[in-house]
Amino acid sequence: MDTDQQYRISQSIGRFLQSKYVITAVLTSLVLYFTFPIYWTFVSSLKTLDGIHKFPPSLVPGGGELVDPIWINYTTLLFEKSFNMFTLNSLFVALATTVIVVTFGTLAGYGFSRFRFPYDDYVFIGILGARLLPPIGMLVPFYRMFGQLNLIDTRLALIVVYTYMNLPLVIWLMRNYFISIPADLDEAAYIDGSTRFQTFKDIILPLAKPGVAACAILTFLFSWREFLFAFALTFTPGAKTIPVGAMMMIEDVVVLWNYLAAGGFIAMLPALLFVILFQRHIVSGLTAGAVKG
Amino acid sequence: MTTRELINFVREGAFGRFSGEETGEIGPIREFINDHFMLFVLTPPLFVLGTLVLLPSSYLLWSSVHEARTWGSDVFVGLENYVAIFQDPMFYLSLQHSVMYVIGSVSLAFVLGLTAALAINQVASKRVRSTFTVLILLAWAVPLVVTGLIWRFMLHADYGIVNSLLIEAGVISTKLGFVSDPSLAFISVVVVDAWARAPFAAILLLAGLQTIPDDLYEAARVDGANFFQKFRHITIPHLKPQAAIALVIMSMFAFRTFSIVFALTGGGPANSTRVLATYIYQAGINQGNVGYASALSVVMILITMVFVTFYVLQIQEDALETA
Repeated sequence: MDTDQQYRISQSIGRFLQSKYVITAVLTSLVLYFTFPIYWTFVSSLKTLDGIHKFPPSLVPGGGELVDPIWINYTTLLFEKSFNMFTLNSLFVALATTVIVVTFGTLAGYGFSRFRFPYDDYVFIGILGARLLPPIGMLVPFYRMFGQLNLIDTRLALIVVYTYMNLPLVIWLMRNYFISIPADLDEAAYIDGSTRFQTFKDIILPLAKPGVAACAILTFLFSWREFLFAFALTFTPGAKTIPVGAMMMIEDVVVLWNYLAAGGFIAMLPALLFVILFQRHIVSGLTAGAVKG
Repeated sequence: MTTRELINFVREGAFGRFSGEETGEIGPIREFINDHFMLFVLTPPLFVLGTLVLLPSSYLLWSSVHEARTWGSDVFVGLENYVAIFQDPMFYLSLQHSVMYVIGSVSLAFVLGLTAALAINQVASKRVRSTFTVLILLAWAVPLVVTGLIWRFMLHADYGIVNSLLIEAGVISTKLGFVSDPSLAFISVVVVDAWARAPFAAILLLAGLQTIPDDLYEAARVDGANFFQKFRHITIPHLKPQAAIALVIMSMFAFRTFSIVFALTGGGPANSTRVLATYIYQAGINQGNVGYASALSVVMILITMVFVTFYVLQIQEDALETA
């Protein structure tokens, strides 16, 4: 086969791979693959246990397989299986963590973007390092320290751990965001007679709102979905979060998959909504967090 | 002025130190805050973070050289815990599983993510493109423990949808116990992990693809380059830094995976899916062998440090210079 013919063949393969139909087919199958488990969670959360145990399972369930009324799995879960407590705990922990982390992270991010102090670059690299430590490695010391402080099985313990896990990322992201805001603005504000605090509060912070929003969303999601520490540090419904509640279902003798699916769907719901509503913010937060640190 | 110089210029204050005189009378307290504003914004966060990082890490080191149980007093044993680790066959087994897990899941997720990113990047309409991005990112939104649980349900030997679909497609003839059969469990865990990790790869790689200027492809097209030549000579070289970072990050996160394995198989059947993270959990929390688990954690952190160092070196310049 001469090179000319080879060239023509690869040319046409390339054109085929880039054609509309191939790309559509690839994208459709990828989307099906990635969204099907989510669809299946939702569908299963509406089924009776008999419907779940049927084989082969029906992709679009009908008739006797579905619970009646359709939301009964969710209401049973929320009002008879202490999932209302789990939901409140998850909300409380995630919101408190977000407030603490975003406040401290924004302050430190501004500090790192505008001031120099000895070894500041090393401190900053250290912050990145803190973010990259595997949480499982810190589980044992946190577990034992909380045990000695009588903090096991409290929401405060979870807030402390999630602050430790999210603060480094937020400092990093906010610093990069503040650096993208020109220092001329600070300068102009000083010349006009405002103090440094006023400048930060009235001039720079409003401009950094999108960055703060991205950090808040990411922190909320990461705290809401966290499982390892929540599972190890909580025992009673007073402190357990939703991911832990969903996991507990598996420890019964008979796994109630319909309730498990409902619990799982509640656990993923805020993240799904956030992704749909704030896709751009989350994408930029994720890529900036990864690539720029 | 380079970016680096610009940042230093910004940080040193473009106009020297500010005393507050320019603002007129602001009172002694506000003037003090004004003069020491750097301390006011940096001290509280760094104090909190420093405490939350340094306290547990020093405690970790301390307990790793002690014979410590959950209840009872601690006895100093020197490096005995570390010696025990290197004589522990279960440690080698879980380390081996962890490494295989990282390699399998990261390469699978990378291929899936790259395919998704390349395909999405071909879509011309911005609206359609962000729709596809959202649909693929939804998988990232699922909490990892829920990922494990729901796949455990889907892979169930008796009534799982995966068995049903594969039988219908004619791939298999009898139901398989994807998570109950030791020879299949590990593969299942890796595939599920890749499902959860691929969207992140897709997002990072898509961001990388979008920074490649269209002119390059245009010029290559004019010169008569075909699809593969363009991919080989334009896409791959430009995507390399992004791909390296994606691979390092994903490896780092796959190495520490706990939730997916724990929810999907719990380390079983017959230890076939026991990884380092679940082993630490079992030793430290279930068996209360705090000293040994701490030493294991230290070993795991040291291994992670290899990735971390590489990652930091890769992005350090970029991280400190990005505006």
